[in-house]
Amino acid sequence: MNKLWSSFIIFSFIYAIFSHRIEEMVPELLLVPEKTIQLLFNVGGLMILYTGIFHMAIDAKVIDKVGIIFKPIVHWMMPNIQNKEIIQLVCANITANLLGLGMASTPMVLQILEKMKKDSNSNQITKEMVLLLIMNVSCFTIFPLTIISIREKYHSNLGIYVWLSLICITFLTSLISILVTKWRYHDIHH
Amino acid sequence: MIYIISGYILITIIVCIFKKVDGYHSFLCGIKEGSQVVVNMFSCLFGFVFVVECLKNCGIMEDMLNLSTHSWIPEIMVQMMVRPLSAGSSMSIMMDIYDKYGVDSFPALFSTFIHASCDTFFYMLTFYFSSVGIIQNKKVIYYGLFTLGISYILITFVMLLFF
Repeated sequence: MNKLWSSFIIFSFIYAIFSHRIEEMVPELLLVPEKTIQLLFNVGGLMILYTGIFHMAIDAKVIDKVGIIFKPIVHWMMPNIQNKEIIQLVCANITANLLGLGMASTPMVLQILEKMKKDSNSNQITKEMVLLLIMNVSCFTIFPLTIISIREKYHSNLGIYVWLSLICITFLTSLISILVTKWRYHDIHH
Repeated sequence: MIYIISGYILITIIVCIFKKVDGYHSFLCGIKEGSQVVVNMFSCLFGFVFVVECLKNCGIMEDMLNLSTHSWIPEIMVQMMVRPLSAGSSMSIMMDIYDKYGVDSFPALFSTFIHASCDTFFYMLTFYFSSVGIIQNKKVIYYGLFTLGISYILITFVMLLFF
């Protein structure tokens, strides 16, 4: 990460010097803090709002009720896990992903990983953790709330075809990657 | 679309009232958690905005724009590279594209798809596992890259076919 970051910066400075744009570049760079804070207000504010509402939904047990539908899927995906609490949390995580609130479920994923680590009694990565990660990366979404609200800010909504193709893409990605991970990934035993 | 958002909020609040849960308190708890995540994100975001601004202003983007036939290709490529690293920077690129080409244009839809259909894999891998204290192995990275590859291929396919 460090190497990439610094090499990009050095590269762009050298490029700017050679193409005589350095005088325009430096004043723009001084605006970075302002831009970052602007972005943080725009994006982070929305995220905080959704985290708040999602937390309310968890406390009111709405998410648990919805999450029960996914119990068979979780049982099929992670047959080694018997701990009921973990299964419930994974179901809630799937529900968060369905609502397009991947960011709001960060504390939840951390909790799941901690519990899994406690159960496996080692600090090695297990197949269940990999499956959880892959599931979160390929995030199968039905109601992409974050995207909808950003587009709402620009006075445009999500067309029905865009929405349907988004559901198809995320569903296929999740299906293929989870199947491949389930069949091909094996733990390294020491 | 407004109805989905308002329905989600209303259903949550009504269920809270029926179950006699202290909704306000848990809302505040959620806000607290969320703002901690955002504050943690701030440093990452700052570093990223800095690099992106460097690359944008050094002129290489403009030179690439002159070279390629479709002007949005470099931006989409940059977003594809940035998406697994940080959600905030991908979102900033997406908003740039919205401002530049309009919300319903082809590149805007493309970047919406990229933003919506994958998540920050490398960020998760480092942040989640290091904060819980789990040793990672190399194989996980290949599976993550495989997932990202599939979703990028599907997005390109769908975009070229249907829009």
